[in-house]
Amino acid sequence: MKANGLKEIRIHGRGGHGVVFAATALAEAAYREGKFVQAFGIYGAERRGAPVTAFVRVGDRPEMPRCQIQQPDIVVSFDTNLPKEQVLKGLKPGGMLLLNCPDSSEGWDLCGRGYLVRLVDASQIAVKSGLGAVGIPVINTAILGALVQVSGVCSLESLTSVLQDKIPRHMNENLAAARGGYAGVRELECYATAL
Amino acid sequence: MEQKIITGNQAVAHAVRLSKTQVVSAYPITPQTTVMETLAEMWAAGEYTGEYVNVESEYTALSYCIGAAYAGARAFTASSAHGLAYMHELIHWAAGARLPLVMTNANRAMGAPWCIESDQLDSLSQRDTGWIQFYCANVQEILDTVILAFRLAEEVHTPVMVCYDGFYLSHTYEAVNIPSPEVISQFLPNPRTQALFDLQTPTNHHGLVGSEAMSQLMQVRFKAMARVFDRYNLLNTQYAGITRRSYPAVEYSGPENAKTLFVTAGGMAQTIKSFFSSTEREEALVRIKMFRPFPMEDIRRYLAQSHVERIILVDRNVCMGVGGIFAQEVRAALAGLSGLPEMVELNLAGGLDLTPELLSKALLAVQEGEKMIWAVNLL
Repeated sequence: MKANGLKEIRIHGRGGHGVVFAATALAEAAYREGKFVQAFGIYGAERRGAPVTAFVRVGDRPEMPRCQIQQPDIVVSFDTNLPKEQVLKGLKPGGMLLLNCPDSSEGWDLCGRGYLVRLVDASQIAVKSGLGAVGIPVINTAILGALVQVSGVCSLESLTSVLQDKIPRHMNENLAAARGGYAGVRELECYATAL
Repeated sequence: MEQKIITGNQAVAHAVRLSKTQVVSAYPITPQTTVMETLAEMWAAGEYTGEYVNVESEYTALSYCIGAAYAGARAFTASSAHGLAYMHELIHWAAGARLPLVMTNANRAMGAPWCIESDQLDSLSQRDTGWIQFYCANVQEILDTVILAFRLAEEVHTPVMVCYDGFYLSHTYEAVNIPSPEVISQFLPNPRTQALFDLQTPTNHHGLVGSEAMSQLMQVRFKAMARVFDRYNLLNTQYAGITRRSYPAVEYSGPENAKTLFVTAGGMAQTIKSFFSSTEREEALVRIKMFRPFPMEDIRRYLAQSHVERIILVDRNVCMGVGGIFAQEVRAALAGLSGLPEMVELNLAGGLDLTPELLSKALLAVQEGEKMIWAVNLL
């Protein structure tokens, strides 16, 4: 947490993941609880599969920087195939990483760095909720649920109320995915040898 | 009034809708595209009821709006970068013809090479076309400025370009108060419903003139531009009366007797302000909202004060061979005054992101005596 209660969240994913939607839905949910918010995404040529980064600021005061987030409090990665150096850039000891992956950190070697690492199997939660299929799951609402849980910027109820207003179809599946993500966050277990 | 989380581009569309615009025409270009996408959605939903004209280029988009404005319609277009450059000839024409058009420009770098980052050289290159130009610092301000722009354009018979940072404002979601149509109708009169042209009695406009007539017309336009300061201040006060939101042509924030002043335009102002508040610094910020006409008196009043020792001019654009363009204008406004403070430029040409980390590094470079600091060398 920074000055004025400002929390800065950076989200990494790919075109088609719904990264910018996730950022704006989180901002809107926090806004409904009376917070000041800002959300935006950056992309080069807009195309499916290209890396996309989105940013969310939530604070108690209206003054916020208007720039990309270099030193995030929380980083979210939609999958483990994204360039690790970019995802972790600027993340300080004490900061938090939320990673979408099945059980371990899939070779990301995150132990002993001083981050808080949280995992969520958003791909499986999404498929179980009926969103997409194995190999092409629609994961953003599951990750949003997990992000609400780890960030504490709003309640799960505020998130689901935003999703109900914003999502045009597959409402029940998306709400189930968000709740599944919220409940499905795990801590990364680091074994002594890895530390 | 309702409050919504929307982007800068969506804010433009709301303002165009609330202004009862009769004709919109534009050609898509990143980062402007979602302005016209949102207007198209509003048209489909019956919320925007004017004409929506699809065209094959920016040149035609502005041509169409010029035709509509000649006929007396309230017309709007939007663009960025190469699209704006492609309109250039007609941008001159609209001002010469005294047409009260409003255009928004989401700032983007000019190629080569292709670059969609938020450099301001696209609209600053249109500096001498005779349009009024504003630069906005947040999403709410974009919505309010477009509404103000329609009234101002129609009162001084001069087109207005409302500019804002591509992505940092065009694509940023923030909480915005969207006024009700009833509130806006207290401020902005309904557009004319009778066409100025009558096909039964055809007339010809803006045919060939000699240099004397041309010079006289240019003097008239010059004097009209000089009236913009007072007119804008009056309209801004009136608008503030109904919305409680005010946007001075030049905004000063920070301690009154600050020794160091940052001067900038657009959304970078907000990063500088939050940098001050988080580090409890003693500097102040001067944000230039109105670029044409250039508010020289305000600039002198804030910058040429005996307690000011240093001015840091922050530009996200560069005029090759000279320096930052806002810096160049500020220097011209201060020319001839004695005892001026030291002036330093921090340049983010190419659309570089101004971060608190970059500001800290830039301040160190200032301490070391650098006069032209290229932010790209500090990354």
